[in-house]
Amino acid sequence: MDAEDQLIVQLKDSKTRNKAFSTLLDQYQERLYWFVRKIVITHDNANDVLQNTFIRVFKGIESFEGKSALSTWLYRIAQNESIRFLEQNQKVTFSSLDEPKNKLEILSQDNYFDGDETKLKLHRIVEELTEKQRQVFQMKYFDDLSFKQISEILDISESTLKSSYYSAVKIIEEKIISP
Amino acid sequence: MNHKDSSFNSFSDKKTENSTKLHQEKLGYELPDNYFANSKAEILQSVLAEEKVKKSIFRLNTLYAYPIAASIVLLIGFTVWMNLHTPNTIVNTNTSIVEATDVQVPEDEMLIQSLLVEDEQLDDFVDEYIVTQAIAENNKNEEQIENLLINSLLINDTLLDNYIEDNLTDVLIL
Repeated sequence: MDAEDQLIVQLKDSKTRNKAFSTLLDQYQERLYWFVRKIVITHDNANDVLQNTFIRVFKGIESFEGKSALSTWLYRIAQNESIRFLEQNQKVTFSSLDEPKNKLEILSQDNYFDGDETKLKLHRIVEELTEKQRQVFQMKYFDDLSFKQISEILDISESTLKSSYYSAVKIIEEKIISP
Repeated sequence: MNHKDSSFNSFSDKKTENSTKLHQEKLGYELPDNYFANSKAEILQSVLAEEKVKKSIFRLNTLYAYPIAASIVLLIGFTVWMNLHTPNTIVNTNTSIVEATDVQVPEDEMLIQSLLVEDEQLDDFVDEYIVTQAIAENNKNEEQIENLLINSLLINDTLLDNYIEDNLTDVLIL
């Protein structure tokens, strides 16, 4: 039994659950925070979504069957929570999240964004990618997930993901080089 | 001009161990001081609150639910059994109550008996109870009147004695 299996067993046992959950937070809190932050943009939103994510994880851990890796399951929950959050707040904050300009406006207004021009440029380029390219680029480059994991989380074939990723990298490098 | 910003060097072969540092350097995302430590504490607190709610429901299930369910089943079973076996007894009892008119049925006893009476028989049961109570009350009143009369006669006799004694005294003095 490897470390992840042990952690799952401990999470499912009411006697060891709290300690195991603390371990789970140590392992995944930071990673999931950044994963969520890139979707919901601002720190406050990411904080809310992260809390909801872990509460959902806690509630659902007993029903986790181990069909996928624990990390994949966690990322899926985080992604679902992020989407749910965006849908709930669409009318209030994200009037049209699909528009890159809007997203950048929200980003530049966040107190926890160090908005120099270079970083805004990267955000702008990333937002101009297709949704699939953006997702796979962010998950691969920033979240350091494997193509296999991304494939399981997004339910997209690995070959499609690889193609999208390399296209995204090419576009970003070209646009950064260009004035 | 093919100038490549140093912070964007080679996206295809990036390796950064610190996720937070990567996000700060490349995307300009910042965090409050000690964010992850504070957030962890908050999440654990929220989760513990959730667990308390969950536990309280769980306790109800194991500790109380089965005994409560068993009690309800026993109560229903007892009621059904009583229903099947008591209607005649009740009628007999009621008849005997009606016959023995000097016996008053206590109110509590009537309420308990009424639980065992079927809906169709409830009106008759109530009527019988009222009649029984009325007759018993009437008997009681008659008894009280008799006692009063006897007492009054006794009192009159006493007064008469007093009157006679007083008259006798008067006669003797005169």
